[in-house]
Amino acid sequence: MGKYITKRILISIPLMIAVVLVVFLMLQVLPGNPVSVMMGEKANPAVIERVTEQMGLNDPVLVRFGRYLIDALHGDLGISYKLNRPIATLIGEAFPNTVKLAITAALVAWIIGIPAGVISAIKKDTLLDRFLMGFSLVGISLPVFWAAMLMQFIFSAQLGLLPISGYTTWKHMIMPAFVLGWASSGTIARLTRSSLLGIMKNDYIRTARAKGIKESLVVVRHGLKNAMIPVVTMMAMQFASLLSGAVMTETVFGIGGIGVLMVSAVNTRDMPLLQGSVIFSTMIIILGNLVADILYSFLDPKIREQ
Amino acid sequence: MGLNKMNRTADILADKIVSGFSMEGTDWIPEGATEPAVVEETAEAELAPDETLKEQIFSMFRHNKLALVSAIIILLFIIATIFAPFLAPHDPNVQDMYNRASNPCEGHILGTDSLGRDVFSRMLYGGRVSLLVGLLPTTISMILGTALGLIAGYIGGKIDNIIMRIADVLMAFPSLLLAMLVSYTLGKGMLTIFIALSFVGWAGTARMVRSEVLSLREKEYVEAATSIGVKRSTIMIRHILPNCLSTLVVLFTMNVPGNILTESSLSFLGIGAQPPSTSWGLLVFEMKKFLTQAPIPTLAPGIAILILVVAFNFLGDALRDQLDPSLKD
Amino acid sequence: MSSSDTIFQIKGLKTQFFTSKGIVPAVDGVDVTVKKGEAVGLVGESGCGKSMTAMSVMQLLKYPGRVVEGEILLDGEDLLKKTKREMDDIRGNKVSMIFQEPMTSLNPVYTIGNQVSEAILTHEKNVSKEEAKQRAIDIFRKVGIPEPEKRYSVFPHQLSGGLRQRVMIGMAMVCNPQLMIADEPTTALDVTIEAQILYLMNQLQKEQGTAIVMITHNLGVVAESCDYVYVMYAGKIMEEAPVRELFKHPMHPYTYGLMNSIPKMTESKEHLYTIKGLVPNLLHLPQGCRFCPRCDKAMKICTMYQPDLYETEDGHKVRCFLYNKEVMNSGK
Repeated sequence: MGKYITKRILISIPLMIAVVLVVFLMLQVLPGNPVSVMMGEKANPAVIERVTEQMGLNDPVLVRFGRYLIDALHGDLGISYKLNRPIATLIGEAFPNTVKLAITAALVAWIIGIPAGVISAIKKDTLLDRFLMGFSLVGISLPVFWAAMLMQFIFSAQLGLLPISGYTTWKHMIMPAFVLGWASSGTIARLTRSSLLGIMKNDYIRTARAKGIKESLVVVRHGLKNAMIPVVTMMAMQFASLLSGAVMTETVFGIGGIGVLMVSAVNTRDMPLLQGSVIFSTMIIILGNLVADILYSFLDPKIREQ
Repeated sequence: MGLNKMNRTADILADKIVSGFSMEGTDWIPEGATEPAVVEETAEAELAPDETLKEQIFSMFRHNKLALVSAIIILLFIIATIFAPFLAPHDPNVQDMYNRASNPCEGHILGTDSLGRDVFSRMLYGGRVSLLVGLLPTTISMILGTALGLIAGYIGGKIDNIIMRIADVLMAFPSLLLAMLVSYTLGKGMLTIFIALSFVGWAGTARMVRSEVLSLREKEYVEAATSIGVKRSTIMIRHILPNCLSTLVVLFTMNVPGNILTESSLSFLGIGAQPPSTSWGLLVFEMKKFLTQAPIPTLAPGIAILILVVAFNFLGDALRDQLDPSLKD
Repeated sequence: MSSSDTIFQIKGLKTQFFTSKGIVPAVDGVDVTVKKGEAVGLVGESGCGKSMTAMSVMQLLKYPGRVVEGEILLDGEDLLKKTKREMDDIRGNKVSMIFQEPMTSLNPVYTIGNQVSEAILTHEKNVSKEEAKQRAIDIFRKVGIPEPEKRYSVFPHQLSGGLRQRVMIGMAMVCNPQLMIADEPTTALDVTIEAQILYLMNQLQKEQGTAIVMITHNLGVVAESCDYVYVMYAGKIMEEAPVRELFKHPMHPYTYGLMNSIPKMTESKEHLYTIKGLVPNLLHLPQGCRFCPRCDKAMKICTMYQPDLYETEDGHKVRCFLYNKEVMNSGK
């Protein structure tokens, strides 16, 4: 298994570098000098020239990329044009909020998604199955910003039960977590269902029944344990995706996380901030997929016992 | 948010699991039965008159009412937006300053927006954007992905490696983030969204087509064609492409709703469609402040998105069950 | 026949599948009797209903299959009258089953030891985990798994097909069942391994006194391992006889055909005998004898009436009008 994990890690490193390069190039090909953007229209051209030189912006792209990469490895992602603060610090402040949302949303997704998938599989083709799968499909079809506003309207504006936005108390997290969790639970429920249904067709399920094990135990012990392997992998990937910033949910509920950071960077044309936050996000996703792969190798004895 | 991409991954994972299992019985042999000869015979007999794609889709609509309803809904949306000029009760751009952000009232069945424009009329026009973004970039990205997947899978070697590594990099990005990056570089607006979704979304298709090609390449008829010296390009187009078709149809139906959602999200963030043109996402964005005052015109465009996306997803599910029996539960 | 040493009996079993295209009579009035410690073969082509008979006994039929008639008597008790819970107690305990596919019949995420002790712990509530483990190791030794202590904590994918089938047999034998049903236990294995597995099963049968129902399409397996044989075709028993009798003297044209389609070393025929035609579609069975359309001795009566099982002098029972004296004397 060590070999497998090493291989996975070795594959992700060039991928990470390539991702950073893509982001870097996409933002660097822009015409116009970022320094003049930063200093405003009225700045003295000579000053702009000098600062440009100082910041090394006249060097070839690849040199600048190398420098950026090395700085990034030391935790230096540059300074925000508009906020004039280190980007690493801004991310450091925003990330805990994203984490809070990700954890609560993931919990909602799992608590709804896994039982819904299992029940659907056991009660396949019944009305309950149809209902649960319909609920899941609506979940994955949900325009998150719209669902968020709908909840704001019902639970804050009309009923006055929950705060409309913000992220200071746990009460603030209920609506965002539910909206995001519902959207994520659909994927989990559908995967759990199809995985369990697939597993229950296996010969070893018949063996378990022939052994005289109660049907409920056959499902739990022999079905679920196998069926959960891909589901857990998916859960890891999904959690990574949530950690990378729930742009829409954060925006509507005014949660100052990574997603909001990225949106504001786009809107204020803050290039280094956008670059830094997008790279941070994608790194989390790549790492999450790596963890998912490793988790998979732990759960599947065929890989584990190699 | 990458949720839709995630969902696709989920389906692929499910595919892997299910296809790993022993052959399921035909309709009368239960799982317990281990009589392969009969299973094969019956299976062959049932497949014998090779059903064309069209026939299969028709038979799906006959048996699956949900799929039929979904298709009808999609069709109604398309017709409604095409004939928007005839169906819209008002000029979508005419402002009524005395009747701003109002709930449904006489003459405005869904109320008015922040500038007093009729929301229903604007939704009809805005639907054009959503549908166009759903269909056009998906088509472009799938043609691109199919071509690259065919090349990668059939030629293999270095070219395969390069194409697939690029695909890996693109797939590492959530589509929303990539669109945001593109919009920073190219500026806000619909063109940006078209470009972002067209040239970024091909990676998943390429991966799928490539794996299909790899398995088809080993099939006898392709080997036979190769052995009698048929040109590579001919083999790809004549022999391999038609066999990928059903997978592509399923994939298309599953990609469309993802792109519709991405567009509406971007427009809601103010990065997508720009006023004075409109889209459902933008309509919600413009009315955001009036949520409590005028909930119906604010939320109505979102319901349109939801209905359209759900319809596409139901249709995609039904098509997958029909055309890709290995996925059937 | 149904003397006191009968341990297991199937009487008039009918199992049907209720499909959208009609009712499929997969098992159509089958009678089987098994004595204590006896090995009985159930032979037939694929799709003749032999596996369905086994699944009916185990009551593991899947929707839309159902036993519609008959009795399945184990030690005089009708299994078809048992509740679900009672059947759970019987399955794997009094009646166990091994399957054709050793490669896929074991759960990949549990060690083989775990899966065997699970059978013990399921049926014997007062056994501790340690004892169960010890018994699993003992049974592994008995079924010829080398280094059983070490192998206890090994996963299925780390074993060969032959060893996995030994594990399956061990799992089936660990609770000392009165009856073991083996559904094509050696079909997926190499010929050399096949002989070892059959030898092992016969040995266990003798040592533990377990009766065996051996389901197979392979007459060689029957010859090697069974005492008594039932030949099945399209859901019905066509012929039954003690194994030596049957091989010495096949009576039913179907049995005859089956035997002649095995290549023999001693003869050098140009063509191997084959039974013409295909197994009939159970949805559209012929009106008369089910084998009639493929039978080269078919008579007019065969196309109109279904024959019964006729007993002959040398211990055979044959479902064929050729052995009905009245029919034969009346001159067709």
